[in-house]
Amino acid sequence: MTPAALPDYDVPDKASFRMMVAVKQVGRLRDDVAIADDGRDVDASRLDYALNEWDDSALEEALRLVERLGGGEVVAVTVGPERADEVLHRVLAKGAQRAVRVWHDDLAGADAITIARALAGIARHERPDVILTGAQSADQAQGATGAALARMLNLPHVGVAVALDWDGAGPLMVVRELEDGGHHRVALPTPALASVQTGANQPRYATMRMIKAARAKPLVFVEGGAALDRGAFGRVVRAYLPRVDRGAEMLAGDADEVAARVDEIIRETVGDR
Amino acid sequence: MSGVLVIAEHRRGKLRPVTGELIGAGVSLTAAIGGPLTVLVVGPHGTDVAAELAASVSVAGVQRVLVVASGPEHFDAATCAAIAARVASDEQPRAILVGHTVDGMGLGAALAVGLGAGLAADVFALAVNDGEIIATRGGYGGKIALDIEFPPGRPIVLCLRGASFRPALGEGSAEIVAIEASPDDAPVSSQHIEYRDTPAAGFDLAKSEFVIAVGRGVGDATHLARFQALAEKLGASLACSRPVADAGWLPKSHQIGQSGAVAEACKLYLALGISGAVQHLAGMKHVETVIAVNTDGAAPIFGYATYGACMDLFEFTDALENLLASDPAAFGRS
Repeated sequence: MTPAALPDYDVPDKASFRMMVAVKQVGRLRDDVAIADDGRDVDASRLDYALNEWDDSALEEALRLVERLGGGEVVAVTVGPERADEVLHRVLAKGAQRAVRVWHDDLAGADAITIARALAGIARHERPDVILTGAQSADQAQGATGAALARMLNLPHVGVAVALDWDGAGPLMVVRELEDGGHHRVALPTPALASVQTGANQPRYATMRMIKAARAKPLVFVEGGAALDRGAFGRVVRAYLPRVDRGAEMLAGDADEVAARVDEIIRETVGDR
Repeated sequence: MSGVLVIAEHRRGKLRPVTGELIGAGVSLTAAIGGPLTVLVVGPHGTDVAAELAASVSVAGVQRVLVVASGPEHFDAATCAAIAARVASDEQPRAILVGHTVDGMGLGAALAVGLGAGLAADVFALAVNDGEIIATRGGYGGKIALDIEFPPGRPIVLCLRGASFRPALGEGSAEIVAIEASPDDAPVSSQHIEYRDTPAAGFDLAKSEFVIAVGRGVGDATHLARFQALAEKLGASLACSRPVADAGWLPKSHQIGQSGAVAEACKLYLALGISGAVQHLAGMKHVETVIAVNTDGAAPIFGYATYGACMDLFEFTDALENLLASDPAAFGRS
């Protein structure tokens, strides 16, 4: 599996080091969830769109590293349709220097490996020293993009990173979060890739004014058809509302009645305290 | 291609619990698609640990255990993916099972890329339809289930969600086969520095019988004192979901879920403004009595709760506080 051979575009020379952050515009369900007519996804007209929370944490790590080191460049890359520019304007407002959007209409609903091929194609052009991704996306939550991308580029990789440090030249120092609250500290020779978990930082906020001002920053569109030629690695055949394991008995009445019933349940289960 | 290859997961010399579940899923899957069930142990080099791990995965239903005793001493995603890909290319299994765990998230997709294999992650159910494997996973915060099919003629990497498949039990008599190291096994990798265990918490959530947990729905940090007071009044421990700890509103030691505490001794779990992300459910879905209060009637937590109320958590909390204040003696509480 190799990076997509994407068309050339104008990549500035590296002044010092370059960090590439992969970001995704994710769909968020509203209350009126419905399955699309083809039965393979949710009805997209009922989705709200937002910057993936994990990617926001990854971007924040990159921005802080650049600020700490007093140099270097952060370039944000997304694979998405035109509406995804909204997310790029937001990350440019937060402080990324440049943004790249890759798309082809046939990439709609593409699996994680195909998306990683497109991102790897951009990495071939950008030659970043460090690549950060979110540990997962809020909508598909496969947690696959970072690992797939690292393998395609033959980079060392750490998933689920909660702390990063780098001196701009030596190894990338990463703390990865383990199950049950433990941590594992590792060093990655650069170039390297880390997938960032939420909670690693408190991402900064971009105001509407900042977003407007950032429209002057470079945002490049790259035609992504070349990412398609290997076909799908997994395809949704059916999307549906899951069967619940154990349906809750819904408590009726107003807040006072519900509180009274909850108080009874507390006494029944754990007794008077 | 035939059969199933399970990648054993271990850390600091011990098998991870997900491995038994992967083998359990592998037993069911091979029963449906045929072929052998093989377990791969990429063990640390220069120790006896690999042999010990190999013996421990030789459970009923496993035909062979392959041991590469030249792996990294501590998990490294790139090295483990390279070794697993080499072994899988030789073995030609139809499906490769990996845990959807912290280590598995570094390994699974990289392995699929290395093999040109199909991939589905966070899979919580498997089915076989006319000989074809269908994996079921969740989307949109667990509110939607997605059935995934795979292109024919390629292996499939399936990363399985923990605590979703029954672990394999029973003594086995698998053939244990040592696999030689290869120069291709050592790509550029991470270097281990140290493990850091969780600092002891001021209190032990795992021992609490009554837990009140708050989620993102509490809005901001200023409201936490109120819930702390409520928990104290009711003799409960105050816990939270990941977003609350991420935001720093409560210390990490209060977090319930996969990367936090498991409410092991809990008998009653009152979830306020918690939607029920998979990671949170992992820490509390076993609790016998769960009460969930959430404005979103479609929140996954209602699928796991005993009692539910579709209501604003502050409206509920106001009412409960009023009730406790108006007649404390009647409830025998201080």
